Amino acid sequence: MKVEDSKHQYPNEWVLLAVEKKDGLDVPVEGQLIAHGQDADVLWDEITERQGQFYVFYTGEILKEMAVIFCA
Amino acid sequence: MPRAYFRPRTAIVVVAVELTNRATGRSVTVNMLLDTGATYTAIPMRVARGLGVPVDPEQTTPILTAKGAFERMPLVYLDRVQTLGLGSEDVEAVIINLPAKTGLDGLLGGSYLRNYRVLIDYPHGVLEIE
Repeated sequence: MKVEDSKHQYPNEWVLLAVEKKDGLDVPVEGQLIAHGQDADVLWDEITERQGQFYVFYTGEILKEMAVIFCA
Repeated sequence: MPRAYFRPRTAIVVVAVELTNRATGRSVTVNMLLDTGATYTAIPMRVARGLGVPVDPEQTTPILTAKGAFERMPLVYLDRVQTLGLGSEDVEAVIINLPAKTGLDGLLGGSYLRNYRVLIDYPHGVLEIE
């Protein structure tokens, strides 16, 4: 599944892919769908039993209607 | 020079960052907020757990939070952190409470950025790192 397609197929969800293809800057562009849903913790739990390269991302707008100040 | 694009004149810059834990044989690419004001790179506990990064509750560092108070937060080391094709080894990161509703899985801060020349062109929406 292409990353761009997953954004249309699973709007405003978290998606976990096993990476199959990257672009020239090593950003995943295609992968095998492992899980998707509203709960990010569930996706991360899926990874703990696996090895390989994965891509976890949110398909909705990042920091929507939020202003942030982070210090770390 | 590696280059990424973001929406021009937006105040936030989000980058895809690959995090690797060699011990577990796991690499995960996540979306992180580029945070030039942060001393450390930061990840939430869900990411540390997913990568299999050991978190020692005794190994902490004081962090000035946005609330204006110092809090001790767990400090971990990430085997490899890479963005725009540029990787750094053994990058310090703190474990922070970063709600999933932000759509982010971390902050890319000074513990990674200090190794590079970073150019952020907000009017044109261009990020360059070398």
